[in-house]
Amino acid sequence: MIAFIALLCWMFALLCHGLLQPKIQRLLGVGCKHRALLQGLRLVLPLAALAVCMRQPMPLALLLWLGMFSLGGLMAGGMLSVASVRARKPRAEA
Amino acid sequence: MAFAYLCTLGLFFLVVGRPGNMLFQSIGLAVMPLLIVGLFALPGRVPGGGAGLFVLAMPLMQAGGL
Amino acid sequence: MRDILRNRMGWLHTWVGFVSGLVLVVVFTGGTLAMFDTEITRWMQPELAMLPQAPLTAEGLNHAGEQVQALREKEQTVFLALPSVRDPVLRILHYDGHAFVGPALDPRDGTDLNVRQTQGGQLFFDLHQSLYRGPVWGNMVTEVVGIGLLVAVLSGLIIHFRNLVPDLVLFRPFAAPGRAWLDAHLMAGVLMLPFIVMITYTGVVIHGPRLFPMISNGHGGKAGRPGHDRAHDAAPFAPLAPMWKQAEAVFGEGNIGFIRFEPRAVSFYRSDAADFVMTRDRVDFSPRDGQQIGVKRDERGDQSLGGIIRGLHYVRWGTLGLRWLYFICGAIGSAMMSAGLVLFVIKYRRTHGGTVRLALAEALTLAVTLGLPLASLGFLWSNRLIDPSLAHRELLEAKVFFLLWLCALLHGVLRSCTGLVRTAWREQAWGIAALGCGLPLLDVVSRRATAFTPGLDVYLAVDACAFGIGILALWGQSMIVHDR
Repeated sequence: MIAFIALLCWMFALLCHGLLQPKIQRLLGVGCKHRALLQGLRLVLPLAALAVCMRQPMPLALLLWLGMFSLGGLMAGGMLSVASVRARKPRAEA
Repeated sequence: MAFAYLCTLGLFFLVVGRPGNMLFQSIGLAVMPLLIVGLFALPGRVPGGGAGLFVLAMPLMQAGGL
Repeated sequence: MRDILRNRMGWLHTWVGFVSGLVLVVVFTGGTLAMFDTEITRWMQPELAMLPQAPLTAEGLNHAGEQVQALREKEQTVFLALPSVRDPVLRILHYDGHAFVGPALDPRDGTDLNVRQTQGGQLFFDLHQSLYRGPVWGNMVTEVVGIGLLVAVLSGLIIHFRNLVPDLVLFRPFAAPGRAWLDAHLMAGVLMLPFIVMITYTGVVIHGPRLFPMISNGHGGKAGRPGHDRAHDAAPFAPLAPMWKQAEAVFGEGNIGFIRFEPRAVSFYRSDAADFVMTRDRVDFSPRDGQQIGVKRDERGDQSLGGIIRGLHYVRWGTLGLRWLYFICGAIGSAMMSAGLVLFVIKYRRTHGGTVRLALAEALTLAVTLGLPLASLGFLWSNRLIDPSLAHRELLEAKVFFLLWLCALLHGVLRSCTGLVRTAWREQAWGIAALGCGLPLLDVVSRRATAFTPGLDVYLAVDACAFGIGILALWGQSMIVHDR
């Protein structure tokens, strides 16, 4: 459960990070409406993941936190690439 | 790379004084890749021919049971 | 100035990355599979499937001790591995040059369970740590490529320094093939950076004495492998059970990993799973009367640092979830390096297309990327197809593995030299799909007569992983078709 929560935290944090990048915004065809909120979440969620992981003994907590960063990042990257493929289709058809 | 290898080896013997110290061995093995990258980043060439021969001798020393 | 640095780092990353990468994919894939070496060995000994999870008894241990004694009288050097959560049987093991092999015994009464002999998951462990080439040369090569990986990581970080953070989760599958592979390589590389640096550095330090034999301190060196003691003293030793109880009183219940038999002592070693810091703490007993001689603990300081590094790398103390995390990170790390190899051949196709050198590079890339999983699945197939009672069958299984891998390389060379490298990728992907998707069926059929009971166990896990790899290969080959 701890790993799952940490994974979600990292995934959403890196999703926010991705949505803040101009390259990804262009790929998705979106602007950045909630910049401050996304920046806040990007900062807070990894700390929340760390706080959750710290319930485990060291060094398991640290390994878990870093491991979930990797997996969460891959999931966020996967979601953003699926979204960019979908956003690309209507533009390509047009 | 051979030069970096020699530098790392030199580091062991210079700094440690007592070969086999685990802490310095760990530091040395962290320094070696940094040295290789640093040496490649430097303009010009670094002396490496003699060091190359030394590195080639290492496996022989190892196989000889050193 | 910045461009010169990038060019220099680009050259270093490309060439060190490619040359080391060919070996590193093997090392990483082997290490990833070795994370579950015990479980793979259990899968490869289906005779154990029906054995109920039972605690070790005094009778079982004493009976096992008698069998060890009989082997010692025949001048065989063996040790006794005690049951654990991961492997619930007693094992009398000896080192055959690549793996610890030997009979498995029932922990309740010490009777021989007559399991088939196999190197099991230890083949992957040996492939990981020494490329199956022994502890001197093999270790040295893996050590050198480990340093190569650290160099490639550092140079890669310098090349992509400005875009590391902004492109952290950027992947464009619809981009040109080279760009898409680069995105995948970068994204996986940067996201896996903590794991890759940690696992590589700890691995390099563990085998450091191989690279610097003149500073060897016995850490990861020649010393201390169970089963290597040459001295034999076949005098009978006292029953093991009372010693075991005393050893458990020192290290805690269930924390004894294995027992070594030496002329002057019977040593009970603390299990690697007992603590994060991996040590060789032991309790020694007199073989004649079973009296405790003493407790030997690794010294603090230097040894403790070594124990931490080993603990981080081998993660034998870890929970099942942590081992799965290592497994997934290792698999993604292998894929990232394979993507780097593919990038290399794509880059040089433009300038060196049609040359023998490039064909060889393409074939080697294919052999480590798809040939290795193909051979690994073939290894599992051979386990169920080779007669369980055949003498030295464990060596035959290993031969099947390497023969299949060699065939994959030759197939790659032939196809690359005739300009059909994409066909070679598709064909080997089909091979993986067939072997992977067929493995669960083979497991069910081959266990039907003896021990098939469906459940959430190692058999299901291995079957599911093989099936997943098969499906992934099917998808991969269809992507190659669409990419035309």
